[in-house]
This record gives sequence, structure tokens and C-alpha cells, in this order.
Amino acid sequence: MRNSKLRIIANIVVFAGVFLFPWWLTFLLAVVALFNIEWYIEIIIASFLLDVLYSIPINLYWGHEFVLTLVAIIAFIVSGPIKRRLIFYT
Amino acid sequence: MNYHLKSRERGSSLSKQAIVVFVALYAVVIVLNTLVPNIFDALLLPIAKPLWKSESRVIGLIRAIPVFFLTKRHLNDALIIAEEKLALYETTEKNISLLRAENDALRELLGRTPIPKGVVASVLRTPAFSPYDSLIIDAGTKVGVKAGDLVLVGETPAGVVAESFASSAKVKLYSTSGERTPILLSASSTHMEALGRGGGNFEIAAPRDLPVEKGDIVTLPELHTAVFGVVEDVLFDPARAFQTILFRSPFNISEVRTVLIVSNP
Repeated sequence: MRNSKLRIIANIVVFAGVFLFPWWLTFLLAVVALFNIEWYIEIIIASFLLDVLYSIPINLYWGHEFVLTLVAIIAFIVSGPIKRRLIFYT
Repeated sequence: MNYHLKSRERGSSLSKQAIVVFVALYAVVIVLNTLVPNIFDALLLPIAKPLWKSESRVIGLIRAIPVFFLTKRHLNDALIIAEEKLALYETTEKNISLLRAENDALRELLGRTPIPKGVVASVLRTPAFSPYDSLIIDAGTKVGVKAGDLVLVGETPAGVVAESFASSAKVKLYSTSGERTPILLSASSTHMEALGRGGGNFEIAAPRDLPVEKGDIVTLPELHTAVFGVVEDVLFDPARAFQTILFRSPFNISEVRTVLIVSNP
């Protein structure tokens, strides 16, 4: 119950942040939620929305337009093993 | 004694499933975006635009709140200062008009057409909000804005329209990290290539013996009457054959509220 409340609050903040906050703040909030909420798949959706809103093909990312989504997927996958190894989550 | 950790095995298989699912979804997104360019942008930007517009209105209202608490004397003083400034600006505006007319006449004599008129657009999102250092404006194909159009801040070239939608567009700035732009160093009339470093900053790797000083003007070769940047610093290492010239745009891109879109023929 506590977890679902936390998830709703996190989703409101993160998805409002997609449209209103600087991208790094939204992503940081999503990462915090990822490490505090189980299976926080919303980080990928939020990153996808950020990519859709702001992406343009630039040389820095070799013309890729969904870089943040890729980073979020990697963060989501890596967060599982990290959580299992951290004493904080036991 | 070692114990077999069953939970770790279950966890790793879950991660493998997750990897497969997410990689597949990511591939689908990439393929869809390649087959139908900007399919997602065209759906999401019309939703975001009213939000951004109302946000700027709310910010404007919040900024206006302190005005209600100012005294009459304070407002009167502010009005006098504003009127003095207005008078000064009116004189300057007349001078600028004269110089502009003279500039246009000279350009015609040199066989160059006057700077074309364009579409004024409001900036909805500055690069501070974007992981791609992009600018989002509220003018699109409905008013003739198309990909490749030149974006000016005042008379300074700032970038080009990268993607255009019905009533909004995304702008790629010249200063975006990794972007290369041909430039002209006015002091020595040397053609070079500037590398964008983000936030209106640029870097040039120039030969060590090239005379460059702080405050020198940088222009674009095709628009050499408009200031593109001002040299801020020159980094010199005696061990290297090159010097690094750092320059920045004459405006702060985070404070830009309107831009001019000039059609690229």
C-alpha cells in the first residue's frame, strides 16, 4: 500500500517534470524513484517522452534520437543486480 | 560453508527477460521512427505546447505579484526612469534605421540582397530543458517554417530548424556540442571551422601563429555583416602547434524569448 502511494506520487512528479522541469532534474528524480520503488518501469517511459519532446539528430550522439531511453533501459536493467547486492534493500 | 543462492539465480533470469523485452521494444521504436520520421513528436508536441504556453503565462503572473506591493513613489520613480530610457531608445532606433538603410544600399551596390524578412516565433523551451541542447519554438509548417530554415536571434545567426511540425519546430543550434560550423575570423579574414561546446560556446583549433585577441569578432562566411560570436579567451600551449580559441555568442541562449526564422531558399 505504502509502495503504491509512493509510486503514484513519484509518477505525478516525474511525468509533470517531463513537461515542466529541466531534463536532468526529471531524470534524477526518476533514478531516485528507480532505487526506491520496485520495478519502476516508468523511468523508461519518462525518458522516452523526454527524447520525443526534445531530440534532434546531433553529432554528439552520432545522430541517435533516443539516447536517454537507452540510458534508462540500461539503468533499469542494472538497478536490479545493484539492489540485490546492496545491504540497504535486504 | 557456502550456500547456494537461489534467489540470485531467479533474479538474473528476470533481468535476462527484461533485457530481451526492452531491447526488442527499443528496436521497434527506432524502426518506427525511421519508417515514419517524427511520428512520436507529431503526437506529443501538440499536447506539450499548451502546457508550456500556460506555464509562461503563470510565470508572468507570479512575476507581476510584487508590483502590487510597491509604493506610489517607487512606481513614479520607475516611470520617470523608463521614460528617460524610452527617449534614449527612440534616438538610438532612428540612428539604427539610418544605418540599416545605408547598409541595405551598400549591400545592393555590392550585389547582395538585403537581409530577408522572416517569421517571428516565441521560444517554448530553451536548451536548459533539453538533453539535446535543442530549442523548441511555436512556429511550424502552418506559417511556412521548414527544416533547414535559418534561425536568428536579433540579427545574429543562432541555428537552423532541424524538424518542423504543424505549429512548432525544433531548432539545432550552431553551438550544440559536437556540431561543426564554418566561420570567419574578422580580424584576420581567416576561414576556420568552429566546434560547438553547448550553451552558446564554441572552440576553434587554429595555427599557433594566427593573430587572435580577446574581443575579436567572429562571423559566418555567408552572413559576414552579422556578429556570430566574440572571442573570449585564447589558450596557448608552447608544446603544441595549435592554439585553442574560445568564443561565445553575443546573446545568452537561455534568456532568448523570441527568434526570427528566415526561409532558406
